[in-house]
Amino acid sequence: MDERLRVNHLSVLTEDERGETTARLDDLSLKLNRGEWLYLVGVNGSGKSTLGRILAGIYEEGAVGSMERGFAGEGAAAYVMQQPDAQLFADTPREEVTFALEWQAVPAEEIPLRVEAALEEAGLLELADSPWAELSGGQRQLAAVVAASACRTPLIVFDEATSMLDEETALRVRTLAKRLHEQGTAVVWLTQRLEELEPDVRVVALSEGKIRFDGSGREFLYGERRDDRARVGTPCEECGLRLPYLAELAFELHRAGRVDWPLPMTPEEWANTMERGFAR
Amino acid sequence: MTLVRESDLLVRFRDDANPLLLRSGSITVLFGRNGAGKTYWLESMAGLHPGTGAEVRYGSLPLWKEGRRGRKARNPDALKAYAYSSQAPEEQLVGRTVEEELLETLKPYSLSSDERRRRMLAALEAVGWEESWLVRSPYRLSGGERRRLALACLLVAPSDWLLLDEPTAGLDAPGQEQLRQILAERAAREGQGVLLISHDTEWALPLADQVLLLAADGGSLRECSPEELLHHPDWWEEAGMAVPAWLKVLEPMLRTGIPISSVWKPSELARQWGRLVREAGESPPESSVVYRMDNASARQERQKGSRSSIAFFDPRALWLSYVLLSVAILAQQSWWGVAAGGAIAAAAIWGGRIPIGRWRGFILSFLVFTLTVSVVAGIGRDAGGQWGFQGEAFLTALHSMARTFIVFLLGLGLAVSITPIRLRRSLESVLGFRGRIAPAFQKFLLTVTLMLRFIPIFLNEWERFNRYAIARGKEAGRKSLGGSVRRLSRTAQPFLLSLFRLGDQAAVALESRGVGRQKYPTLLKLSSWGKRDTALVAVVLLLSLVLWLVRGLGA
Repeated sequence: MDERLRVNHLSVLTEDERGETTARLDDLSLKLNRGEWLYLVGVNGSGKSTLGRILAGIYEEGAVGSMERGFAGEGAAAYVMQQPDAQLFADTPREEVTFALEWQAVPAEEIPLRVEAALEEAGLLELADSPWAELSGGQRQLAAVVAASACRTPLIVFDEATSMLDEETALRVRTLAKRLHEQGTAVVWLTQRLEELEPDVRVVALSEGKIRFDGSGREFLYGERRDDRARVGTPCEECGLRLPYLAELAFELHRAGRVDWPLPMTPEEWANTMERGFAR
Repeated sequence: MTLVRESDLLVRFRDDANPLLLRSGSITVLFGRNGAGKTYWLESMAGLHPGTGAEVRYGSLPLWKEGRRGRKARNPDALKAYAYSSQAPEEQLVGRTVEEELLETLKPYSLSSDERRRRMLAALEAVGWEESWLVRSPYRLSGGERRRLALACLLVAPSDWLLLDEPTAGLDAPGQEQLRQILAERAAREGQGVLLISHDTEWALPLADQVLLLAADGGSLRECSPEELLHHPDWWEEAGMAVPAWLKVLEPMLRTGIPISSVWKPSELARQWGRLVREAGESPPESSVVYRMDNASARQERQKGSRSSIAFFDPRALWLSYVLLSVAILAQQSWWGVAAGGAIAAAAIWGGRIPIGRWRGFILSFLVFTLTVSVVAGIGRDAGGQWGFQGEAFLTALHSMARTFIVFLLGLGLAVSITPIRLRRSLESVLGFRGRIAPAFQKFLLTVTLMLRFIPIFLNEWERFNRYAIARGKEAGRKSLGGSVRRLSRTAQPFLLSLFRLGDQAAVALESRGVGRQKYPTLLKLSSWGKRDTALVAVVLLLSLVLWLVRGLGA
């Protein structure tokens, strides 16, 4: 039995008041493996949020096509949004996670311990009983992640969950996501921050409701290997996203014959490249 | 002493300190960590927060003037010196056509119709549109087009300054490039000043003439040049931010003192590759200044809010007390009884440290409503059939309205101090049976809880859009009825749309949490009823009994 989560020929159509239909997603197909990490990128209006919601199993009006939930199971999966405030229903982190567990019908006597453990893991235990106003945006977002992922997580979708956070708190949210991933959870990570991408992790890029790219992070930034040193449009640019400064620099270095394929992407690779910038 | 030009922006944070001078024709970028209060700071520059302590002047025009009765009032002429763009400016569109939208922004400025038309066409051209776009409806534009229209609205105003909050967030690469060009041109050719917040250092730093770094606690501000900042990675950390990843990679190069122009041009940097010399170059002459600001501690206080001391009681005890007191107060037939009820309510609110100050506006409008209803009730025929104002009827109406008002105050206090989820849990434990609760009740309770939970968020949203309406409408205060109505309509429309969005997001979040999938979610027991709860109910019962017994006295 195929346990992959499969989206087959899916379109999401919206009809405006004049009766004109526009497709937010246009005949799109995608497969997601159990325990996979997937970066979903694209500009605003590319349809990535819509796809994120659909992958999370949330009802979307105007969706046509089929989907097999596979490993993700029936019902909606965990989903974390950009704005923490709209997804927090209690008043403190402890209450929030408790509220989430209640709705998972966890036995009452188990709830306090499990809440404690989950908050501890996210480093929120000290703030467990502080009202939201005393928490920073990042801490509230962490609480939202804990509540969303509480106890059942074959799949979790992060919809630009770090775009409102500074780098330090963004890193904490990401670390929490990475931990879930290590425990076998499939993670779909929607982002506009291209520096979050990793060279060997899958990236799916959307533009105008269609998948324009499905491959590795490095290929997304730099395109396919070319030895003629010509600068051609990369998948990143073709999706309307700005090529990061460092990627631009890598291209220039390649064109000047200073670095070779594969072009640097991680901080370690860049540190090595920088070494070679100096006269010996 | 530097000469201040009529179009410069001058900020004096404290009486004794040197002012921060932002030159028109230059681009200033503000960086700061999330939560440091960047938006608050920019809104203060736009006069949207009273009492920030800083003295802001656009040229010779102070942002705040001494108004009637010594109160500070916004100076409409200073407000006209800037055009403001919030984080999601497309949320504020209110017009039915693009033309109406642009005219809305131009309304506060007295311009001839020729000049208005010229400005509108120029603004459209700047965002790449033709005249034919004027008749389009903003509601039929795509998200990206609405964003462009918002940008056109910013550019159409004849102001010296452009204030922008995170202008690149949500823009695609061509949109970001277009914005960069427009801002650079506005500063260089038209001499407008640009002050913007950004977290996108790759985009903003090359554009900046000067940089402001807001400290993590919002208590100080460092002014420096982009070049200085490149040589001082420690300043990012000083402001509680991580050095941006791309700058961290470049750090070894930056230390050699390569010129900033080749940092901005990767091709230039690539040409020098392999020939850079590893020795510390000369750092640029330092002119960085740190400004101390007063408002930080006040702001933190405001954010903290206070926790009411009655939250320690069991919600059931509080509700019971509320019901008892309300019945007793409503039963009062004399003014003495109303006064006693009022005193008890005041004591409860003050003694319980219930933060109802947040609801001042709401309470005041209820008070006005109370008086209006009473006055209206007082108008009628007297015993002789003569029309006129009847003191008796007025007092009778006022008497019953006053009782309602007191009970309303108590109820409001109860609602703001019991957290919604505790309320829900206490009601569930009353309504639940054998660890279960009927789904219909469950739904009802959940709805009520969520409404209560989101009220503070709604309030924040309302205040936010109200501020934007001031920034766009430029009216100084609520001087005229017309002005108030206009501001109300400019606030209400985006506010409602924002409510829909919030509701949509909350619904999605609830669905993803599996709320509603289980017919019978777990019922948690409240921590048990304590001695203090019994004591509270006993005291309130006694008070209510006394009130009840004396209800007819003196009537």
